[in-house]
Amino acid sequence: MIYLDNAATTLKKPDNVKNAMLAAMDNCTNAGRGGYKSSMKAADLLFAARERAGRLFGVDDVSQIVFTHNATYALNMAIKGLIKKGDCVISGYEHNSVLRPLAAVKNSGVNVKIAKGRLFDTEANLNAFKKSITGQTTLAVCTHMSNVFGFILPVKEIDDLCYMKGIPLIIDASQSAGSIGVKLSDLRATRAICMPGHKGLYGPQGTGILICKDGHKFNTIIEGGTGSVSAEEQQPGFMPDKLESGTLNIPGIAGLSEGIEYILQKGTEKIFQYTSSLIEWLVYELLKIPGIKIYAARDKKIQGSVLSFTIRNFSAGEIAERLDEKNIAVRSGMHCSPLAHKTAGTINGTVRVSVSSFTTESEISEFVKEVKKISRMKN
Amino acid sequence: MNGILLTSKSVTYAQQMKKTLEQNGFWAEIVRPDTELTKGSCAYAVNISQKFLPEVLDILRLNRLLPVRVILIEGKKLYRELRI
Repeated sequence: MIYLDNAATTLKKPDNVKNAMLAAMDNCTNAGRGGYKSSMKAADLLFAARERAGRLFGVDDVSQIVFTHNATYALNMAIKGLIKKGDCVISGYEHNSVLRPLAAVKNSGVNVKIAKGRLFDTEANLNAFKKSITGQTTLAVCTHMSNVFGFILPVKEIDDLCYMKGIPLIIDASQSAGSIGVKLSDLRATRAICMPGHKGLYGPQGTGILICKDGHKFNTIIEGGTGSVSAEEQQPGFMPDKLESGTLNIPGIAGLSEGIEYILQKGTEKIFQYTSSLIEWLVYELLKIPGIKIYAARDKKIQGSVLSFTIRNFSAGEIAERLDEKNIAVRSGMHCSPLAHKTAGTINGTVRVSVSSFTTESEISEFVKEVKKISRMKN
Repeated sequence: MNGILLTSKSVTYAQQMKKTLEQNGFWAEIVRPDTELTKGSCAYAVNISQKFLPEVLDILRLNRLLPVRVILIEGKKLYRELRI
């Protein structure tokens, strides 16, 4: 199979990921519960994972690194943890995992304002945020990279803007974590960075990370056993326990830890350069196909590892189906981001191709060859 | 066990204390103290050598990692809390 749906989840992982998961299943029990060796092993594993995440994301206090089940959980915890009555400003490229938690709190006096800017226009998107943030704004949420178009939004500049206006910012790093450097230490307004473990961090499904600033000030949405201050009925007020209730996915986090180590060793810049070169080449080859429309940035600095396209006379679903017949995996449709499609004007959906650091040039060649064949059927 | 127990709120906090102390050249071991020392709650503590207590507390204070309680272990099941 040629797998080109890494924006959904990465299939190929570094070898150590699986090994670490199996070792954890054999040797680690529940962390923060017992004082015996296997419990302490689990606790040590968690701590090491927090430290690695801390190094990657510029976090000194590792207690601010919270493990979740995925990015959706992290975003729900961040949004519902920080939301207040008033306006919440979001970009025009947000995923349903931002839209839906906000829709759920609309009846609590929260008004969602969309800072709509043209696709691949950094200035327009920044200006849209400037116009949308007012005295009524209490929170801002912005995706770092669109999961539909790979558009890298100017989160640093949006962070600066939010800082000047005294507004907390949540960054959705679901597509950028692992390939684009984002460090909490470089950001001033950002209170949360949310990401899955199973995409660009090369961990397994069932893992995610919520990086907080002053996480102890977040409202909780889940309370329960934490292995700490058990005699108290109230949820602990200190981190990470406040936001980590219940048993963690220790084998999953063991794998995630190795995925993060792989990125630390390789370097996000190198990973970005490689995936960027694949996308650039892909765009160059696809542009030769009659009837194709590609949604890509001219400036490769704002084009991530995700690309969308359509072909005249074909629905996105049909293209994906025909590629699947050739054992090539891509995603078609709305990609759980109807807002992004509305903003970009692709209301009928697109075919999405997404690469990882394990995608090869020959896979891209084969993909292009098949897309050419498909387009010739009707164009 | 002899020495000093620095009790903490959680295992993560104890790990942070241990890491900080080790980075500064001090031996530290994470243990699970008796619940009578932790007000009936599950908790963890860092065991250190008594002779380095002042320096250890300075380092932890500097790193905003002061323990919840400082317990001197004077023998089997003999404990005394030290005020810091």
